[in-house]
Amino acid sequence: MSRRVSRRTIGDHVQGYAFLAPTVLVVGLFTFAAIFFAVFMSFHKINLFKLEMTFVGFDNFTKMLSLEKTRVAFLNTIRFAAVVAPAQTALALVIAAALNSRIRARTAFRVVFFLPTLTSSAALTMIFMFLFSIPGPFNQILTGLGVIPEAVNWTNEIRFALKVIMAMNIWSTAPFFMTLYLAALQDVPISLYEAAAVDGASGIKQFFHVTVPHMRPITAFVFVTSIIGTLQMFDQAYIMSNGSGGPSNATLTMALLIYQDAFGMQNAMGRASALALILAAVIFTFSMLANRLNKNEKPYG
Amino acid sequence: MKRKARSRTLMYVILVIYALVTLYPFLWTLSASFKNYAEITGGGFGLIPKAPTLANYIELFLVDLLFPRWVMNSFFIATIGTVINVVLNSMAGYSLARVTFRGRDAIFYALLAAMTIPGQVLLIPNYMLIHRLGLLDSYGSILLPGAVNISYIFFMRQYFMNFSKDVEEAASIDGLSRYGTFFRISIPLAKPAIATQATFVFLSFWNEFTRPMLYLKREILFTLPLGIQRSQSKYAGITQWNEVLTASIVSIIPILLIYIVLNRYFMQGVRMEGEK
Amino acid sequence: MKKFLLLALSLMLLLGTVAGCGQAAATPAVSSEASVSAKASEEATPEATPEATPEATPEAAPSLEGKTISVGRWGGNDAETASFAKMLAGFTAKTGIKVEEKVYTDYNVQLQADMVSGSAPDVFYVDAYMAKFYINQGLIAELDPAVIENDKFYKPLSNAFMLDGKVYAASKDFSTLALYYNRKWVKDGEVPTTLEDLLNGDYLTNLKKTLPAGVASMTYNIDLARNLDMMQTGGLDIIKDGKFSNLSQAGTVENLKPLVDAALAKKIVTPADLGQGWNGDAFGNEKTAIMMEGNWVLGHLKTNFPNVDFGVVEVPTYKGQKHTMVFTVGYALNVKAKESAAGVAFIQYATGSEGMTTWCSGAGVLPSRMDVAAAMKVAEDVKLAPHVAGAEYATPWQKGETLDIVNREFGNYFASVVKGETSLEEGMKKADEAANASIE
Repeated sequence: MSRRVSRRTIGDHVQGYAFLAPTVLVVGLFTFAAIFFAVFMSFHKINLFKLEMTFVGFDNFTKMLSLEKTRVAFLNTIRFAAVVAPAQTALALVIAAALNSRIRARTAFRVVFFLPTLTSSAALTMIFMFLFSIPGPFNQILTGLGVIPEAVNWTNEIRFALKVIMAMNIWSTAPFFMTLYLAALQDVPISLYEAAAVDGASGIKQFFHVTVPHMRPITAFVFVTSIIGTLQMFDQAYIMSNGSGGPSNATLTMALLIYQDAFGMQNAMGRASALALILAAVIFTFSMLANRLNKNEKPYG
Repeated sequence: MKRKARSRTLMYVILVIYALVTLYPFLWTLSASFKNYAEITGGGFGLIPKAPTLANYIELFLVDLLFPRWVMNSFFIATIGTVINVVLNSMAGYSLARVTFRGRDAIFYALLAAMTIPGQVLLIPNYMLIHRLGLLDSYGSILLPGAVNISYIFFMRQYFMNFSKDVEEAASIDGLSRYGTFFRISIPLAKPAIATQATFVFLSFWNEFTRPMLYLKREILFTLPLGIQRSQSKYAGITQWNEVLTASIVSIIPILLIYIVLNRYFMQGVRMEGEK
Repeated sequence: MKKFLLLALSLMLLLGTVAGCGQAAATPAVSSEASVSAKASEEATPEATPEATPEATPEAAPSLEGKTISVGRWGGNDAETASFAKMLAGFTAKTGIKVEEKVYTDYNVQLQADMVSGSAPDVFYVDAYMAKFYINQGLIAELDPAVIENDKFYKPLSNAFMLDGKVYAASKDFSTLALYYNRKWVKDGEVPTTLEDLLNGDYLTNLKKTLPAGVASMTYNIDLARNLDMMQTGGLDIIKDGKFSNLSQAGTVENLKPLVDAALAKKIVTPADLGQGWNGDAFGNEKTAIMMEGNWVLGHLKTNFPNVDFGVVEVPTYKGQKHTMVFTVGYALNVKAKESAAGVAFIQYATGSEGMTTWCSGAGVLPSRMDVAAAMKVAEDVKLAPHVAGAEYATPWQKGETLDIVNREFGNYFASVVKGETSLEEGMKKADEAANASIE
């Protein structure tokens, strides 16, 4: 590879490093230094208040892996990601494609669809609590249609609590991805659609034969981002359950479990770090797998 | 032809339903900002306030002396942060997509790995670092760690990988240096992606909660989300919803304007080639 | 693949050295701080005490003038912010000590971060709930009971900040629970005076028949903080061996039965069942006729629901005993305070009669000192009186060093119990198991 060192490749190297230097510096300092610290903590029983630590080897890892709570949190998290990530990605792509076609009031639709991304999480949570509360519209519609016999307190029910958070997450994050798709769609040559239309392909066919293949790199990005975001889901579970992960662990996610261990009276930063590293390994694996689903692409693209 | 018309109608129906689902909560919040507390929490889902009042806006802008200051603070941080991010993220993304050099893949994977760590365990180490750098209670504590954003580096990378090399090669034949090519050719061509990135980076600075929450403790330095959080009392989680919802409407407006302005660039490609 | 691994490894090492620099600088500092802090926590007690003795009281030491201390607190509503500022002004005028305010938004996380990096304020708020934990972590300096006039405080409030006979903080105000009823539907003196009659008799069922559709007779909370007094009736303790969760002991389960039975019979509902955020909103919006709430709800009702006509009485007795919960927050001195003497002076002023009167009358909270309470005549206010009375016999919301965890798991499983998805015994057993697995 480096046998023929031309001026071109030297120039490439200089440019590559120069353009990446600020990033490497910032990420190195604020993420990698912190990660190294977390790795260090994960092998210790650590009391940050007293700054006492004892080396415990893999004890934190084995302890966390043996806890029933970890199992529950892991399953909840995987279930959450398995539903939300594909749903978000698909919804975002479909809506973006629809918005990119020649429809009336396109700009108005774009602005409206973008709104959930702007609404603050406090307002959002309250609105959702309202929508899904006993006297809320969701219950009114369902009981009115006879789907359910009696109003249900959705956010407080073991069976439904996590699903409400799923709905909320899809609803609030899909517009973000939709906007990314919209930007990317501007680069698909119109001639491709025109050619497909001349060949008699319907809108749906055009979508599958032109849009989807062209959006592959962006889909890879969106899907990986979505997987990372959903596997790290914290805020909404925290707000909805008041930090407990209840009812009966129904909304306990890995990130919430890490938070519970790290702060307050639990004071088990070592265990929290161990669990965080386990979660990071899981996320990394899934991200790589998701990336590889793009057969046309190299693993990193 | 008939089938086509029917599928178009179906598409409109879906879009309109989806629009209602997104619009309703926003309109509800907007109307709540003109309601008093009792009406907001009374369980009314109506969008027309029964007794419209400007009291919430008056409270925020005229009575609460710190609120306008928080708006200014957020605006300041978000603007500076966005400029820095757009430059650095685009450079990094370009480098990962278009430049061939040793260690590129490794850097890419390292950045990906950096995204996988749950933030909860990084809080304390980062706090110690910020303290040691003397940045507590200063905006450097937000701008420096936020100077780049890996998500948008990857986004720019995907974008640069996607567009054709021909133009750039032509430019280099025309004698433009590689840096000239990047700033004069590649960046202008990436306008839709940059506009998207700028909007979202601005948005994420504007709504950023964790860093200001950790590092800022002087009320005069607070950002908008932190200020909104402050007005909640400790016990029983009493939230003054009329003020919180009004504040969130105030915080949405600047972003909405930016989105509408930049939306022009998102659509640029289509405007030039497609429509008419 | 091999090439990639090599690259990845070299990069990690490169980053490692970058990070290592940061850490090399950080690590020794941490360990030296560790030894210092270890010493500090041993020495702090004897050191802090002489400084805080009456001979060295701030008034007698004019040298404190011109010093600046930092005070950490969490934000409150406008009235609280204003009266805090007023109290600070009074303090500075009197002592010449300036105060720099630090406002916390996520207290547990921020204080922990501050403590670890040594940037914590000189004086800070401590919730009684977290007090014993912080004391045992060696974060809080001992105070001289004579300086803060510890015996002038209501007993449950001073006890909340004491450990092994030593005083660690001074309570700044308090809240107790009382029973609120809407006069539109409930006459004065009509509510049963025992919990047994209220929850298990026919009162609530009969009341329900007189109420408009959609209005509940009574709301309740599933939090441990609201039910601890009832659960511990008969001298029980939900904590065993100093730290383990003991929610499933026969007595506790038996004590909770009346509440669970009433909940299962739908005589009482949670605010969430009514689509309301908390009792105060459910009551203010007239969705419930009766609730048990803390006195913080008084200001809320006055501001946001001025038209609701209501009465307040003490919490009905249980098994023949008066009971309620009390919540309090105190001012504590940082063990590593840069300005200990000035910090003590601040605590002394803020929890002395002058500072406490300024704070409590402005913020609408109850004074923790009996002398201030008498001077402010809070007991003459019919709506405050039941809350003030509770201060004498209330159970503090505090329980050793693991309450946080026990509380979390109680909330986690009790939610299923009151819905009938799990039996009370089973739910409490699960909560114990989960909590104790975390406590180890």
